[in-house]
Amino acid sequence: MDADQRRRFGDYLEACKRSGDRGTLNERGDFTRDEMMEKAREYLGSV
Amino acid sequence: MLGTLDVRGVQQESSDAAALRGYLQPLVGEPFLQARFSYGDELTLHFGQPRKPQSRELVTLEEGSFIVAARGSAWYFKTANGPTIIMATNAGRPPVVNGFAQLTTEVVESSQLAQRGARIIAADAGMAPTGATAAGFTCALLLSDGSSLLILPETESALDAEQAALEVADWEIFMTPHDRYLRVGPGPKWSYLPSRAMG
Repeated sequence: MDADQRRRFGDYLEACKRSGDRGTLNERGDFTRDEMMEKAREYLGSV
Repeated sequence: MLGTLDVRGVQQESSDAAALRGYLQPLVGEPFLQARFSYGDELTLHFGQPRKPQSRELVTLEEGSFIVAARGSAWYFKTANGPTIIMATNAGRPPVVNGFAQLTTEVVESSQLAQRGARIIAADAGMAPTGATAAGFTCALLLSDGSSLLILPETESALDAEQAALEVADWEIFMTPHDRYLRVGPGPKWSYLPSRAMG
């Protein structure tokens, strides 16, 4: 990912959490490393 | 010394505060659009011309042509309306008895930090003061509605190369009109780099 993509990936992860697609890392719905990799594949597939 | 900085150029790692201050100046005059939190409760402030990301997953999220990202740093925002300072640090609740109320990111986003359209009238960078949590550069913005932002680094730079490769910047500023971004810290260093991969 370039810097623009990395910044937007942060927005994408936050949008996922807010829409209910939450991770299992903690109570806040953050994503584990494996979940993050899956999210990265989703995100890059949508760009 | 008298010279120009090319905002379309690239500057690899530097520790020069005067040039860093120079690269901040394209922000001056840009109107405030919105404040939004990204993943990890990272504050981002959007300025300039509003636009929609090309990604279909993010098409509903407006973003500005200039984006200030606080990354993992502490920040202090003096709001335009009322005598309120909104602050975020990695430390716990400050040891003050009165006058501090905990907020959620949603509350901050829905409050009016600054008036939409208020323009940046000053942008400055300097070394963090002695006694700060970490060494590095601060970022200060003053808006025409009287609101202001101060970003203070909280992360020390890594000592070994492997850790350094994983470091998160203290703060970043994306300048879409020039396809560049300013990456500052951790530690007293900064770079001005392409924000998009070429090709």
